[in-house]
Amino acid sequence: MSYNLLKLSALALITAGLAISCTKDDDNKKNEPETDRLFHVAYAVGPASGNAQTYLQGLSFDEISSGTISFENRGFQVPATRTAFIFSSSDGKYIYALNYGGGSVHKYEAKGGQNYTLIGEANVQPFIGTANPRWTKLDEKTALLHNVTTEKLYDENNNYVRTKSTAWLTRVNLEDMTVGTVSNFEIPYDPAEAAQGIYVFRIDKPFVQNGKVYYGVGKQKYDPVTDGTVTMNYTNAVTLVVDEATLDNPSLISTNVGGAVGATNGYRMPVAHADERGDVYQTTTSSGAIHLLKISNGSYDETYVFNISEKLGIPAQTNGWFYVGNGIGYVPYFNSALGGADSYNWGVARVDIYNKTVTKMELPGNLWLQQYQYGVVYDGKFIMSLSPIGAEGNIYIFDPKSTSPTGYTKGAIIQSTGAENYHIGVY
Amino acid sequence: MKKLLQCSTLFLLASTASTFAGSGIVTGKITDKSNQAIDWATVYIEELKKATYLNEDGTYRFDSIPSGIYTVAVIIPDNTTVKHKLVHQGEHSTLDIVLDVNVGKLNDHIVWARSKKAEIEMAGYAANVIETGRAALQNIQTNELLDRTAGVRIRQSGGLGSNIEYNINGLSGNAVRILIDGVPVHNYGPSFSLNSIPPALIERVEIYKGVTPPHLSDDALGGAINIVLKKASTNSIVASYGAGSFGTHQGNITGFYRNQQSGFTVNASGFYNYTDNSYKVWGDKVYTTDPSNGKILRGNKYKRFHDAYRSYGGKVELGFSQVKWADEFYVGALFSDMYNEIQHGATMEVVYGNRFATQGTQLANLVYKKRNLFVPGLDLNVLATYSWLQRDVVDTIADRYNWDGSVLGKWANGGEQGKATLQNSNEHTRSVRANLRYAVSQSSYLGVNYLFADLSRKMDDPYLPQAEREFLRDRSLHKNFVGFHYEQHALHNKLTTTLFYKYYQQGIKTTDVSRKGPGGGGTQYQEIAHSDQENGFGLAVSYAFSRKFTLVASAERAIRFPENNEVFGNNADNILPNPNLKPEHSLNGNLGIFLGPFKPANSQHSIGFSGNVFVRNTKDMIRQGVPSAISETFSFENLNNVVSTGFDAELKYDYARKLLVIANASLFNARFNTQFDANGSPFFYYRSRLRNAPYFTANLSARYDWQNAIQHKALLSLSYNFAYVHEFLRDWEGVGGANLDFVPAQVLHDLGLTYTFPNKKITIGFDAKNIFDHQAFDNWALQKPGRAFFGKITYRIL
Repeated sequence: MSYNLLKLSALALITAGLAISCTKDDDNKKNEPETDRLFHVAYAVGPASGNAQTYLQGLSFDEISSGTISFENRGFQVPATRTAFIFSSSDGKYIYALNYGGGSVHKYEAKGGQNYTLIGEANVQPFIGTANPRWTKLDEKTALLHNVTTEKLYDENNNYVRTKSTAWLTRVNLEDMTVGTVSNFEIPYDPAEAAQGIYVFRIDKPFVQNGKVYYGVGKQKYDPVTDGTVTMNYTNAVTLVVDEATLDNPSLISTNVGGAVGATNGYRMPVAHADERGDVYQTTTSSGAIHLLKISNGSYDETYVFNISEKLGIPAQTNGWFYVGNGIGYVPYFNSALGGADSYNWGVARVDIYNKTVTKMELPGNLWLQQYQYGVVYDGKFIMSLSPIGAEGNIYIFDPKSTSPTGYTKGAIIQSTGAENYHIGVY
Repeated sequence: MKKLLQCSTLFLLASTASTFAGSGIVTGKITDKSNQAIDWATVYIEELKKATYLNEDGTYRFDSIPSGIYTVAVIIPDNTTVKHKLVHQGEHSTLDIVLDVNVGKLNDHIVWARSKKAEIEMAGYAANVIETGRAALQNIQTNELLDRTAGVRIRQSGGLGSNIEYNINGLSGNAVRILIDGVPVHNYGPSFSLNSIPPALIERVEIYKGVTPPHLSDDALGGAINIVLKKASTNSIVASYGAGSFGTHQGNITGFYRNQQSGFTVNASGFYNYTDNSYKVWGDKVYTTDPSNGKILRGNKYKRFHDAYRSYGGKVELGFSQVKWADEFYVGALFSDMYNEIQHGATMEVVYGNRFATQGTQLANLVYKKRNLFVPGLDLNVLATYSWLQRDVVDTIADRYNWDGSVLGKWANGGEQGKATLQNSNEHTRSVRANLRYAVSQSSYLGVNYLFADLSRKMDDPYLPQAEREFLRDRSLHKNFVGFHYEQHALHNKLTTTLFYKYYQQGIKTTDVSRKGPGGGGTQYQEIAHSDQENGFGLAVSYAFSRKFTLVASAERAIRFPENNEVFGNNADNILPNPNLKPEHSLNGNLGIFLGPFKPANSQHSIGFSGNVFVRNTKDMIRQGVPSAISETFSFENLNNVVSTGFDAELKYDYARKLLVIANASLFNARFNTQFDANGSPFFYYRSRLRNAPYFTANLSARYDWQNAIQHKALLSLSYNFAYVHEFLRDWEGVGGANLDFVPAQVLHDLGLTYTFPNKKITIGFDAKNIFDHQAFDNWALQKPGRAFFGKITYRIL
C-alpha cells in the first residue's frame, strides 16, 4: 500500500515537473519575435537523371540554427512521378512543386515539420504539350513554364539543313494555381551556327526586366554524319527575349564580353538575379571559366566584365549563383582542373558584383553541388545546406557583410551526402 | 427427333449398365510378407483396362465390375508385375495379395511412383509445377495460376494483355527467362506468350527458382519458367468459349488424332482472346482538367477507353508418334497475332487515346524425340524452330486525352509517347536445341545439352525523314550453349545427384551507320560486334529419408548476358555504348523440404508440407549509369549488387479427395548490397530492402469437388482463392516520414464454380474475381481491374 502511494506521489511529481517545463516552453515561444518563418530543408534521393525524389521539412530558424536535422524516417515526400522541381513563397508559407513526369503543378501550405497540405493544383500537360516541362518562379504571383521541341529539317535530297527549335511558353498563377494561354513560336537562330548543326535545345531560368521576359539558352550540336550529339563549343552567350504580356515576339540578345561564352539556362540553381537598381546579373560558364554578365535596358552591358574563375585563380565552372543584396552574392563552383561537375570538388565563393571581388569561402572538402538548387536570404543572411560526401554537414548561415573566408556561422548538423542522396537546399 | 431418340437410348443403356445385376465391387489389400501394408503400387485389371492406386493402408477398390474371371496385376514402380487370378461374382469380391518382398527390401530398389509434378519438384531443384487441371475449365489466365505459386510474383501493369514482370524469389526483369517447351519465349513474340496462351492449351508450367536445369539452355540468372504445351494421348477435340466483364471474350480449341496403325499424329490447337479492358480506374492519378485554366477536377471514376487487346493464334503439328523410329516426330507451324491499345504512359496521369502496338508471329518447328536410339539407354530430343516476327507501334496523333475520353490540347512532340512514330521491326530467329542423355548404368546418366540461337532484327520507321531512317540500326544476336550433366541415383535411389556445367557464348552485332560527308553523298555501314563467354556450374541433390520426407538442395553460378541496347547504346534514347559491359552473375542456393502427405489410418484427412529457403547473391547487375551533367547522356554499367534471401512454404490439406486446400506464403528479402558508387561515394541505403519491389505474398486456395451433384455422375467444383500482397514503398525505405509513395497491400478474393455434366462432355464455369472490388495495384499508379464476372463453357466434342 505504502509502495503504491510512493509510486503515485512520484508520478505526481513527474507530472508536475512536466507541467512546469511545458509552461516554460510556451513562455519561451511567446517571447520569440514574430519573424519565425519556416525554412524548408530539402533532401533528394535517387539517380540524378531526373528520377530523384524530394523530401522536405519545414523548420523554424532555431531548428536550422542548432541541433540536428535528419531525414531518417522524417520528411514530406513531395509527390512526383519522376522528380519534383520546387519553389517556396518568399515568406515560407507555401511550397510550389512541379511534378516532372506527371505534368502537373501543386501548391502546398506548410504547417511545420513534415506537415504540408495540398491547397491547389493544375494539370499543365494540355497547355505545354508535355508531362516533362521546366519552370521558374518569377515572383510571388507568377511562375513561368516552358518547353522546347526540336525537329531536324532536310532538303529535297535528304541532306540535313538545320534543326528547328520551337518554344512553348506559358505562365502559372501561383495564387490560385491556374494556367494561362500558351505562346508557341520558332526560336530565332543564327544561320551560320544552324548550318553547323547548332540549335537551342533548352531554355530556362527566365527573369523580367522592363516589360520583357529573358530566358537563358542552352545549345546542342548535331552531327549529321554520325546522327549523334557532339560537343558544343560556345562562341558567345545568348538569351531569348519575349514580350512579358504575350510571351511572344521573340528575339535573341548575345554577348562575348570579356571572352564570356557558354549556356545561360543553368541547371538546377538560379542563374539570373536583378539587383536593387534593376540591372540583371546572369552567370554563364564554359570550359574552365565563369563569367558574370550584366543586362541593362534590354541588352548585355558590353562594358561590364567580371571573370569570376580568373579572380578565383583556378579554372572553374558553375551552374548558377545566389544574390543576397547590396551587390553581394554567392557562387557555387567546381574546380574543372580536378574533374567534371560530377567530381567532389565543389566550393562556394562570395562575390561582390560591383567591386568585382571574389572570396573563396573556407568550407569542408568533398562537396558535390551539381544537384544543389536553392539557398534562402533571411534577415540579411544567406542560408545554405552543405554536407560533404560521406560525412555530416551543416546548415551554413553566411554573413554577406563579412569578407572573411569564414564569414559564416554553422547551424544545425545535417546528414551526409552520398551516392544518389544529397541536400538540394534551403527554401 | 431421331437423334434425340438415339441419345435417350444411349442414356438408358448407360444407366442399365451401371445397375447391371451382374456387376459389383472388388476390394482387397496388398501387404508384404511381414503383413505391412504397401501403398505405393498400382492395381490393374487387365481385361477391363482398369487401374487404381493403393490407399494409404494398402487397400484398393474397383466399382462396377461385371462378373467374370480376371487377371489382377499389381504393378510395382520398377515395372515388376505380380499377377493373380480373380473370380468375381455377385456384389462384392475380395482379393488380398501378399507380395513376396518386404517393405524394407523394396524400399531399397524402388523408384516411388510419382506424378510428373512430384518427379520434377523432388529432383533436387527448387521447382514448382503447376498442373492446369480443373483451372483450365474456369476463366483463369495462365499468369494468375503462376501468381498463386509460392515464391513467384507477377506484376501486371493493367488488365489482360498488359505488361508483365515476373519475379522469382526477389529477382525479376531480365533475370527471369520464360520458355515454351524449352524454347525461349522470345522466339514466339508477345502474341504467343503467357499472356495469350490459355491454361487449356498448357499441360503444366514448370518454375525453376534460381537454379535452372541444363536442358533449359538459357542465361537465366534468377530462374526460369517453362511452359509445357498440352499433348493429348487419346483422340480428342475440346473447345471452349468464355465471356465476361470488360468486354472480354476468350475461346480455344484443341484437337489430337493418332492413327493406331500407322502412328500418324495430328496435334492442333487455337486460341482467341479479346477484351476492351474497360474497367474503372480512380484515385490520385485519375482526373480530368478544366479546359479554361488547367484546374484538376477529381472525384470521379472513369472507364478505360483505349485499352483493347486482341490476340489469336493457332498451332498444327503433323507427324508420327510411338513408331519404331521415333517416339515423336513432328513438323509444325504456328501463327499468332496481337493488337494492343495503350491507355496511358508510365503512370495513369498521362492518358493516351490512339497509340497502339501490333505483333505477329509465324513459326515453323521440327520435333524429334526418341528413347533408346541405336542403343538402349540413349535418348535424344531435338527441337528446331524458325520464326518471323513483326512488331509495329503506331503513334501519330498528338491529341491529348482526358480520362473522360475527351480531347484537350495537343502533345508537343507529334505523338503521345514522344515523337510521332510508325516504328516497326522484323525479326528472324533460328534456334536448335538438342538434348542427349545416355544411361551409363542403371543408376547413372550422362547428358549433353546444346542450344544454338540466332536472331536478326531490322528496324524501320516510315514516319521518320528518309535521312533519319537510314540511321536505324540493324541488330543481331547469336547464342551458343553447351551443357553437360551427370545424374546419379545412389543409396538405393534415395539419393539423386545431378552435377552440371554450362558453357555460354553470346555474340551481338549492330550496324553503325554514318554518312560519307556532312553534305550527304550516301551512307556507310560499319558492323560493330561484341562477344562474351561465360561458364556456369551447379548441382542439385535430393535425398529421400523416407517416402514422406525428402530434402532437396541446389546451387548454381548463374549468369545473364547484356542485351544489345545495353552494350551498343541508342542515340534516340541518349544511351551511350559501353563495350566493357560484363555479364551479370549470381550465386544461387536453395534448400527445400517435402513432408507428407500424412494420412492417419482410417482417416480421410491428409496433410503435406513443402518449403524452400534460398539465397541469391547477385553481382554486377546492369543498370543505367549516372548521366553526364551537360549532355544528359548515360551508359549502362555493371553497378549494383543485390543479395536476396527468403523462404517460401506451402501447406496442402486434402479431405477425402473432395476438399483440397493449399496455403502458401513467400518472403523475399532482397537487399541492395552495394556500399559505394563508382565515385566512391557511399549509398545510405546499402543493405536496405530493394525499392519498389514486393517482398511478402500469401495465397490460400480451396476447392471442393462434389461428385454426383444435382445429377448422378456430374461433378460440381467450387473454388475460392485469396491472394495477399503486402504493401511496399516505391522509394528507398528509411528516408522520409510523410506522404510516402507506396504500393498498397492487395487483398483479393476470387470465387469459381464449374459443373461437369454427367456425360463428361460439357463443363460450364462461372468466375467472380476481386469480389470486393478492391482497388489493386502491382505497380505504383497503375491500377488493375476491379470486380469482374465471367462465364465459360467447355465442350468435349470428341
